Amino acid sequence: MKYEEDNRAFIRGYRDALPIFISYFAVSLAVGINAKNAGLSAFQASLMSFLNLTSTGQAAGIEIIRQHGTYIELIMSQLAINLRYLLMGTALAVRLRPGQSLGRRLMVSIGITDEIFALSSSVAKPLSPLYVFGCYCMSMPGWVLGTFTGAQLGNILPQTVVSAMSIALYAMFTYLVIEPARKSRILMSLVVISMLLSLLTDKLLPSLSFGMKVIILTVVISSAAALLFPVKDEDEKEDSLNGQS
Amino acid sequence: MDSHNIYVYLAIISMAAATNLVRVLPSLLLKKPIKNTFIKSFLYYAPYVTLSVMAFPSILYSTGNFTASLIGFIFVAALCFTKAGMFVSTIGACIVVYLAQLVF
Repeated sequence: MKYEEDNRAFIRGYRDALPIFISYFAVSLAVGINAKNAGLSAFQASLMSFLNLTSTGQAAGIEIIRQHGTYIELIMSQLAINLRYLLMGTALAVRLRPGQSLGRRLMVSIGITDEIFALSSSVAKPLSPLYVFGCYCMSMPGWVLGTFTGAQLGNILPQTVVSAMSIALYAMFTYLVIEPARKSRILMSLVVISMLLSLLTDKLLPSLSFGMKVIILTVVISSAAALLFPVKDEDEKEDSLNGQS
Repeated sequence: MDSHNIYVYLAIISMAAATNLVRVLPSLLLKKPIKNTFIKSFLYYAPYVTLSVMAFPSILYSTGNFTASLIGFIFVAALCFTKAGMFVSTIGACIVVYLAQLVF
């Protein structure tokens, strides 16, 4: 009975995540190309994608590796950039039926990304951990395959095509912040201020590494925003990045 | 294994440890939802700040052609105000940059 139910939830998650497989494959081509440019082999880039499964985190990590940054910097940047997974994990944990075993709760943890979170929060409560795991099993191979293909194709494709594709990841980040922010004046101001301060930091402190810049600006600007404009409504979270695919 | 490869593998493992720690923590610790308004607000704003800082001005140097990148950035920013969606906007930016590179 329990087995049947788990089985069905897994297959549903696996099927629902097909669009994620496709978009992961497309986006991770750029990750593979960036990784190759930074001096990683196709195998190393794929291993990174398999173990990390995070577009923003890997983009920052690859940039830090290219600059030969320290391990502490890599760890701090991943913590800062992926702090949102803490929020998502928290939000998903409360959607589960209470009293799940640790193993089943970890099935939810392993699959937390912006897109899988968005899909998993759209299904009716209570959420089955097997549903999230099904999404993960469909999505992750798309991410790894795309990375591998990108790192390999980087050699075959003409330079103009590779450089055009190198903007894909940054274009996605831009879309992910501006699209949801256009509905809120506070968020739009936050995005514009963050971008301007990022530019200003590059000009004033050119020796500051990319990872440190991301960490420092995230902590300073987000704290200021949290103090000035505390979020009262739980529902506001629904409008956030998490709703994007 | 040479020192570059050792560095890359240790870098990958450091990243994975940090990223997955953040993923696993709520499952290990969380008994009830976060109540603290400051922490909740901070966690709400942080992704926007992080992504904005990562996107800009890096996007302008991403392709090696400043003018083409700037056109790509403006293109994506403009499409955010339409119903194009992320997939079309992102792929569209690549095509726009490709074409702009032929001109500039």
